[in-house]
Amino acid sequence: MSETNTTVSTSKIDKKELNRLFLRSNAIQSAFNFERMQGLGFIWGILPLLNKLYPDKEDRVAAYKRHSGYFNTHPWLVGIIFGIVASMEERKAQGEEMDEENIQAVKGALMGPLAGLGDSLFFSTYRPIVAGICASLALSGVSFAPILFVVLINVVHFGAQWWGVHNGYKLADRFLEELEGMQIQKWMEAATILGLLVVGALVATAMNLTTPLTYVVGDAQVVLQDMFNKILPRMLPLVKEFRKSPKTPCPSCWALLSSASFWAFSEFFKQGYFMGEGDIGLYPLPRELWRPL
Amino acid sequence: MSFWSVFIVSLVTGLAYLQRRMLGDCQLERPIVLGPLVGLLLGDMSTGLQVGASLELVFMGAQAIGGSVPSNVAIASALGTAVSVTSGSGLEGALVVAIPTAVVASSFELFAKTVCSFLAHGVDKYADACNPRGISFMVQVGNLIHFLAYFLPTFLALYFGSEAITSLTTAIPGNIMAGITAVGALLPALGFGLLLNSLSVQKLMPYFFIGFAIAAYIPAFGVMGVAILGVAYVILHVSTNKATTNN
Repeated sequence: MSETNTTVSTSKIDKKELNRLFLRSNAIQSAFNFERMQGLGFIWGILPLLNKLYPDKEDRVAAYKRHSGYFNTHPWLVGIIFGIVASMEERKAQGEEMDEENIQAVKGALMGPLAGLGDSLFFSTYRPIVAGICASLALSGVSFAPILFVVLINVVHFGAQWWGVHNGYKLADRFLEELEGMQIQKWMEAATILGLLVVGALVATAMNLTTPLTYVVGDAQVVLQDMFNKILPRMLPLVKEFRKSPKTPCPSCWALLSSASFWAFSEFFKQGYFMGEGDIGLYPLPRELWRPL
Repeated sequence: MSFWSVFIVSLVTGLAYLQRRMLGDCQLERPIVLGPLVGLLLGDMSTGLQVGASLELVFMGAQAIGGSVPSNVAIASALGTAVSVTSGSGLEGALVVAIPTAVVASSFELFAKTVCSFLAHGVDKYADACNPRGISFMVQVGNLIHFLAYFLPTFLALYFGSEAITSLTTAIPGNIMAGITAVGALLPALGFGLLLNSLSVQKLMPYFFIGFAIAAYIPAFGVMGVAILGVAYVILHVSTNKATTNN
């Protein structure tokens, strides 16, 4: 897109060097710790590049220290930062006006937004979508589902890293402007829509919630689940899902509470507390797993 | 379980986690991958597949945000699958083991991340001495600590505890097991709920019902069919509409 930022003739960083940076950028979470987070991974990733750019010991020590401090961002998007930092370090090594603080500031300014973007786009949306599809495939006995999961995840993962290192280097400090032109907001919304569609489908397929409740009216036996099925198939999983939907502060509490209450009720029924005429029992079990005690 | 099968299962668990440190974040430690893998190693892939897929749905919303330590799904799915396969206790046996393990085992990752803080000072020292090899050495020591934090607990739990765990799961009386089965059938709701919490944008919620309705009324569609429709729709949506949300 733009070659204006990089002076190609004197460039020490070629395609090969960038590919090495890409390979090393994947080890960003190495020696992850609470003091520096991904700081040690970052210095390890950029180490050979710094060695190449700074032959003098003094510059080298300064560069090592510059890049071993606190750092934390999304592991799938860190390639962008590696690319930008590589370009800035190169210009600094070539004697251009480039403050140490400037490089630190760019790292600091990018890691937060990229972490947020990656978490919401990849870990809250893309991975669950792929995992949901593959888990439902696996449950229906498709044995290559795990392989499909790994492939789909990592095409995007390594693709994003490779793209990030190369484009981050090429665009350098203009990266953020370019990012705005890519309509990230719109794509994030699109990802959310896809996520909601798939989770909706998952609730309908992967949750096995039926009631074996039947009651007798005169001579006729009414099977409650059949009635539910006529109104809305998979109604119970849907109701279940909405016991704890969006605005509830603690979904896990709700899930546990309602599970517990369901179970307690089923126990009551088994003990015959609510036993009327005929065989009435409400069990929150998949029908095929239910066995009368 | 024999020494070597325990060793290999623990090794695979440790390596599946080590890739998060050294290979980016390939998600190899997710139950959907680790479950079938452990099942395969122990000679029962189909159980591993079922257990892994079920645990994946339960832990779907579990993720590390920022530097936080999430539920330890790797050790949980390794132990759950191993116990399920060796004791033949099915999905319920796996759940009984995996859910508590996920909570308890997260402390091992916590421990590794704390210990590695000391290495940062080693790196500082080597940086001052202009010793890149020393820096790399410190970083790899950190990775080794992280690997051991997954390998050792898995190994010890399986080698010394698998019989105890197995007899525990088989000793659980029938009606409690029935309750666990019931909760197990409901647990995916927890995963979906956690996920909806982070996905939900009020304006976009209708899409959830569209996805539900398609899959509920047309079972043949499955999740895959909805996903394909969804991708096609989303591409149209992006190329024609403007974003409605701004967060």
